[in-house]
Parts: sequence; structure tokens; C-alpha cells
Amino acid sequence: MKFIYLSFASLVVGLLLGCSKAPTPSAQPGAPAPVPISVDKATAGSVAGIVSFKGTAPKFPLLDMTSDPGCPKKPEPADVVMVKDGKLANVFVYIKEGLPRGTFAPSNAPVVLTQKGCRYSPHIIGIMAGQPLTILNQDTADHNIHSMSSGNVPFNESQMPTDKPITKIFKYPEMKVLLECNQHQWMRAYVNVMSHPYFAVSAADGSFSIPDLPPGEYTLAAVHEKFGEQMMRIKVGARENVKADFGFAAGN
Amino acid sequence: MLAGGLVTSNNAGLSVPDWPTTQGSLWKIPPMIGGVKYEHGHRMIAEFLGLLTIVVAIWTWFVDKRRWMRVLTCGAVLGVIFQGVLGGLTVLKLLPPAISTAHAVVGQTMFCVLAAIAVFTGKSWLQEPIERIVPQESRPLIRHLWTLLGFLYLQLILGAAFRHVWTKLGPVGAERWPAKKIIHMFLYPHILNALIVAGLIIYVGMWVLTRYRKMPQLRRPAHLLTILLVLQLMLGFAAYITRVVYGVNELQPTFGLVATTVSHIGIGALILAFTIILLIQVYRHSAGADRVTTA
Repeated sequence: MKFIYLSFASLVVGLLLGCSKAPTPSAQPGAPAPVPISVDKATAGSVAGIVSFKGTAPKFPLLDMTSDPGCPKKPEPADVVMVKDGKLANVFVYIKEGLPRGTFAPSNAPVVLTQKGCRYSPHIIGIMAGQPLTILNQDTADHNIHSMSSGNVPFNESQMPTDKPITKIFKYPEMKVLLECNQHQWMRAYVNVMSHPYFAVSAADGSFSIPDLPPGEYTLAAVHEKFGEQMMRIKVGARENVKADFGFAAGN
Repeated sequence: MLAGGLVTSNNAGLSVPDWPTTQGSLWKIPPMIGGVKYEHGHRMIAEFLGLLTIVVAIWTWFVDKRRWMRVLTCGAVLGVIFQGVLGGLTVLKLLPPAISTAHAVVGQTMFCVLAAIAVFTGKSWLQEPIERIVPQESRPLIRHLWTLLGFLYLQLILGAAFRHVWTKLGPVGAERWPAKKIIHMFLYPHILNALIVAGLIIYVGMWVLTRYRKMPQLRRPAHLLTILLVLQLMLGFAAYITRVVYGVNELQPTFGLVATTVSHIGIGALILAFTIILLIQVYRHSAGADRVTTA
């Protein structure tokens, strides 16, 4: 009996400790210094396309935000699956493979995340590792911003309506970092931290465009938070504008 | 404990990012809205409970002549402080499942310690038992109760781990672990262990109710254990339906999910406490008999 107890207890403790593993940065100390890459814009091409959706989009219950008087009083639609005229918004499209080895310098211009109407705008964010993320509170409600990062240092900070913007930098590439507000459980946004600048988020009409892509063969991927990831191979010639459409469907 | 259950069920554990302060202050009460009302409410109840425990310890120190009672109540104060520190670490370390689970387990343990203190200071405890159990019968009963206690703790750890891993890494959290994996790792063992616990409670309950029904100190907790078991199994099933069957894609916790989960936690704590009370009473009634009773 003692043996069973001990084994079960060790299993549970082991599992829990495993779940609590600290974030591990992807940069390897002692690795050779990466080569900076510069792209010749005169020969660069681009890829653009439309993300479409087939079938009936899943329905989510309206959000009840009345727990906070600083949030909208009426029930609000969820922003998880945004389909309009068969086009899917909030799909993160990025170059997954094929870029030349080396590093791309991150932009110093911050990506802005706004809390307005007790929602995050934008809902899906693409940002480069090292690029600042500026978080604003334009609500009359208090918020907390909790990043559930595993590859970067996670954070959790309060932001009152009168507070200054919060600026955060994700040092390492990491996909689908959840940002959530624990004061308003429906507030969720995803940050995709990339090692390069070749990404886009599909707009309300499903369109996306990735400019200034060096000529080459790539794997282009499209990720939706509910429908998963799709990939395709593309070949971009000098000054060529490649068309690449994705199609998601209900039940994916 | 129920307030703590409300915090986890509403995913509000990090709505106040700082600790021991709340939004920078040790004494100011923030606007009790959104997730803050659960998290700060839980902190205020915990502080009041800590204060009451200190009062009990001081009172016991001056009034109670039993040395072990003084030690027990001082231990309760240390336990409540330890529980507070675990709660603080849970916030500061952003809900690591191991610490959050430990916080849930120590919380219920402290509830049992305080329930035991209530028993030890009750009127019936201060009087010598009229009837006692022969050692040949009390020994196996005590063994069964310790076994039940072990499986109850395992049940508590699995249940708490399931909720905390689900909230941190699962569908309502970072989505790094698929729901199926969490269910297989924690929920199915929790359900399997529930059957063992149910069997043991029925066995021990029937043992006590058939043999010692004339001893109210034993009969009452045994009776309550069997009633609470039925309630707990129903609540567990309801909590499973509201969370796992219908709650996976919910963007905000439903009333059903919160109500069933919090009740399940509360009844679970009562089962643990009554098992400990029954164990204490069996020890109390099993030695130095003036008059022996067997049935």
C-alpha cells in the first residue's frame, strides 16, 4: 500500500513540477554571432492573398461585460472567429521556412496594443523579437495585462485609465503568446513574436500582404487561433508579386 | 476556501498583480469589480481568518491548560501564515500549478486543523467518554480511516492540479496543453480515485453506523460522510459536464461552471474534515475503557 501511495505521490509531484517549468530562452550562449541580413528592396518581391472561410462559422455566446461598469453595458459579440462574406480575419500569415540564415534588425517603431471597450485591439499581433510593444488603456476600467509566455519572461501588470503606456519587449521568437486580462476574462489577444519581418494579419476582408520579400522559395503558413495552421510552398522571383490564398473551413 | 474556489473558477487569480499589497496599498480597498472582487475579496477573508486564528491561539494560551492545545493553535497560526505565503507566491510567480495546487491543499488542511480545534474545545470532548470501543475493533477502523484519509488527499491533489493546470496551460489559459492531455493526466485519475474514496466511505460509514450507532460522536460524522458523499459525486459529475463537456470553448466562465466547481470544492473539504473528526473520535473512544461496547 505504501508503495502505491509513494508512486502516485511522486507521479503527481513530478507532473506538477513539470507543468511549472521556467521559460527557456531559445538563444544559445556561446553560439557564433549571427550575420545581419540586408534586403535589396529593388529586387524584392511580395506575397499577398485572401483568407477565405467555407461553411458556417461557429457561433460563440455574446459576451456579458456588465461585471464592470467601465465596460460596455450591452452584450457584445466575441472576436474569436471573424467571418464576413466568406472571408476570415485575424489569421496570422508568416514565412515559416526558407529565409536566408542570419538576423533581421527589429524595427524601433512600437507595435501598439490598445485596450478599448474592454477588448484588445488588435486581437492578433505580429511583432519582431526586440521590437517594443506599447500597451495603452483607453477605457475607464482598470485592466491587468498578463502575458502567458513560455519562451520569454512572462509578466503581469495593472494599468489604470490614467496610467502611462506600458512598453514590453519580447526578446525571443515565440508563437501564440496569450495576453489576457484577469479582471475581464473575455479579454484575450495573441502575440506572435518573429525573428524576421515577413508576416501579416488578415484584415476584415481576409486580405493580407507581405512586402519586401527577398527572392527565394519559402514555406508560407497561416495560423488561426481556432482552426490551426495551414502551409503552402511559394516561389518569389525578383520584383514578383506572388498570389497565395488560404482557405479554412468549419470543422477544421 | 470557497472564496479561493471563486478566484480560480473565474480565472481571477492574477487580477491583482502585486502581493502583499493590493494595487500598491496594504490597506486601501480597490474598486470591487471584475476579477478584483474575487481576488481581493479572497485576500480580505484570508486576513480576517488569520486574525481570528491569532485570537484563538492567544485565547488558548491563557485559558487552556492543555499544553498540546497551545502548541496546536500556535501551529494553526503558522499554518495560516504559510498558506498566505503560498497564496502570495502563486500571484508573484504567475500561477505555477505546483504552488497553486499546494495552496489549495494546505488551505483545506488548515480548515481541518481549525475543525479539529473546534472538536477539542467542544463540551463533549472535555467530558470522559461513557462508552468505548475495544482495541480489537478500533485498530482496523483506525487503519481504514487512515487509508481513506490518504486517498482523500490524493483526490484533493488530483482535483486541484486538474483545475490549476487547466487554467494555466489548458483551454482557458495559454493553450500549451490540449484539454485531452490534462483530462488524461489529472481528471481520469481523479474520477478513478473517486470510486475508491466512495467505496471506502461507504465501508467505513456502514461499519460505524451499524456497530456504534449509540455513540453520537462517531455516528454523526459517519452519517454526514455518507450524505456528503452522494452530494459530492453528483456535484463532481455536474462540474465535469459544465467544464469539460460544455465549458471548453466558453470565453467567460458560466454560472453553472462556477457554482458546481465551488460547491464541489466546499463539499470535498467537508468530507476531509469529517473524516479527520471521525478519526479523532475513534482514537478518543478507543483507549482506557471504563465500559466496553461492541455494538
